[in-house]
Amino acid sequence: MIRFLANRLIAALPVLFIVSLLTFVLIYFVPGDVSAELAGPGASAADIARIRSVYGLDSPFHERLLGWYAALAQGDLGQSVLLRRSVTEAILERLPVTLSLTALALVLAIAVGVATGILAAMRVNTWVDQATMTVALAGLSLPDFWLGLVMIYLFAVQLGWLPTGGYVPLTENPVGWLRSMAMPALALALTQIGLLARMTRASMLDVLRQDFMRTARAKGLPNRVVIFKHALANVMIPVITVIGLSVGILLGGAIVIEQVFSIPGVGRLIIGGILRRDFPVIQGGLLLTATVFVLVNLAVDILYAVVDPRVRYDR
Amino acid sequence: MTAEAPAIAAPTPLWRRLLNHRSFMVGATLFGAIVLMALLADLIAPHDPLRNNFRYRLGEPNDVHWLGTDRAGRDVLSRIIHGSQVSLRIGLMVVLITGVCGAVIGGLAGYFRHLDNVVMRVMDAMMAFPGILLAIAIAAVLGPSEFNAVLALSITYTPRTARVARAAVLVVREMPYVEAARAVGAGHARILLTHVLPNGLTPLIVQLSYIFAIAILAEAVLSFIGVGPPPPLPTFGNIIADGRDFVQEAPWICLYPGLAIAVAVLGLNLIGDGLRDALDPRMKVDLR
Repeated sequence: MIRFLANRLIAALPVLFIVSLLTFVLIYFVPGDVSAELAGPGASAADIARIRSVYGLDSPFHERLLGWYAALAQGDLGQSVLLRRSVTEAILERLPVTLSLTALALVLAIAVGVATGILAAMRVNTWVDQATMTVALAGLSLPDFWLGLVMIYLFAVQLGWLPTGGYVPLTENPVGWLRSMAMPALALALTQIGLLARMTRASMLDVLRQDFMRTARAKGLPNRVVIFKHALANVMIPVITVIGLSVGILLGGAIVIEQVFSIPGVGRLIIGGILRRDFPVIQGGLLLTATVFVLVNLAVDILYAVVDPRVRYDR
Repeated sequence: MTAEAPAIAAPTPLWRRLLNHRSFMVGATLFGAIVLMALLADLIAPHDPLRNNFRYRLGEPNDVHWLGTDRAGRDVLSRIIHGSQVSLRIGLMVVLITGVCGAVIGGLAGYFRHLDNVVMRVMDAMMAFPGILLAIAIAAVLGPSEFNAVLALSITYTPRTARVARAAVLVVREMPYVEAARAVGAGHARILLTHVLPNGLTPLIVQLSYIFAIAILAEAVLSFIGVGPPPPLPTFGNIIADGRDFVQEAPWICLYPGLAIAVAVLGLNLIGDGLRDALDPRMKVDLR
């Protein structure tokens, strides 16, 4: 098990390295930079050149690359040009907002998606199966940001049940937090609910026709034990993989959903940075979300080995 | 009765399997309707999608404007009909580019094993970025245009097709007919083009129908954020973006283009499911 963990950790390192390299290269090759905008309209070429040298934008490629890694090693993502503060600080300050939104959506997606998938598989080829799978596919096909807008119209404008947007910190007012997060989390989760329901159903159907399931039934175990003890552990293996991928999609979706509901999270920071070409913010945001994704999938790999001992001996 | 029954039933042709596949036919009908709408846009759009009419700003749906008007008094239905052209064009371009690039990159990585490790680690790293965020970042640094949207989405989704192509090639390259071809002296190029490509194509085609769906959704997000094809040219996404500030007083501006996206994407997802079942019966889950 320790060897398995070490292997997985070592395999994640080159990916993280390439992620950081790609992040740097993407921004390095961008035509034009922020200095012209900073200098303002009517600035002379000399002014712009001075700003470029202040921010080190005129150094050669290898110097800037080394600078990028030297700073990264200290957890420094650089200074936001437009916010005039450390990118690391700005991101860390907003991270709890985005992570709590993503986590709530993930919990919703897993709870509803997996339960729906199991239900559909147990009633396979009945109207229950067809109805739930149709809804799941429809959920998979709706744009999440549009769903957010529709929800705002229905539940905030028409019915007045929930606020149209904004954010209440969990520590300040849990009920307010839930009210502000309910619509964004649901809009975000719906796609993943559809995806997880479909995956769980397929995985469950696969497991249900295995020999050990027949054996379990033949020896007279009650259906509840057969499903929840024998089937579920096996069903979860492919489903856990999908959950790992879901985290990445939810994180990306959260960044967009934050725009719809005016939630002051990392997404608003990144999109603001992107639209105003504030490159350190874009770099920091890309690096952070990709790192979270790699770490989550590392955790998924480990969870995998815990759920299924066979995985540990594979390599 | 004929004299003798064939010993082995001929396999059902692909098109017949697809015609008998109910969800494929539903998907083909839904997506076909959107394609038809795009092709016939100039004929069926009741109004000029770009003509402002400030006397009918944010007009409710009525006999003249079936789906209402937007903040400049432009006809929402006509904008959706013309928007389908741009949205589908972007989706199709992304499918073609990711299909070719993914097949080449994944195919080479799967066939020439010494390339595999490096190429696939780079693909893994690209897939570690949330897809939509990477696309937004690339589109933003390139500048908002239809071409750049295609480029951003193609770069983002190529690793996904490359991974599928690689997996398919890994299976095909071990097949006896590839060994036989190598034994009779066929070169790499010939083996790749005449044996690996046709036999590894199936999973890629299935994947591409899902990529088409994802590209349409992603284009909408790019336009919504403001880094997609710029207005006034309508796309599904920028009509929604345009109506966003008027959700309260004119919800129809946002509502209907979203439904058009949903119909197109649902259709493509159903087509993908149908192709998967018909092209590869082993992947179909049947419980008896």
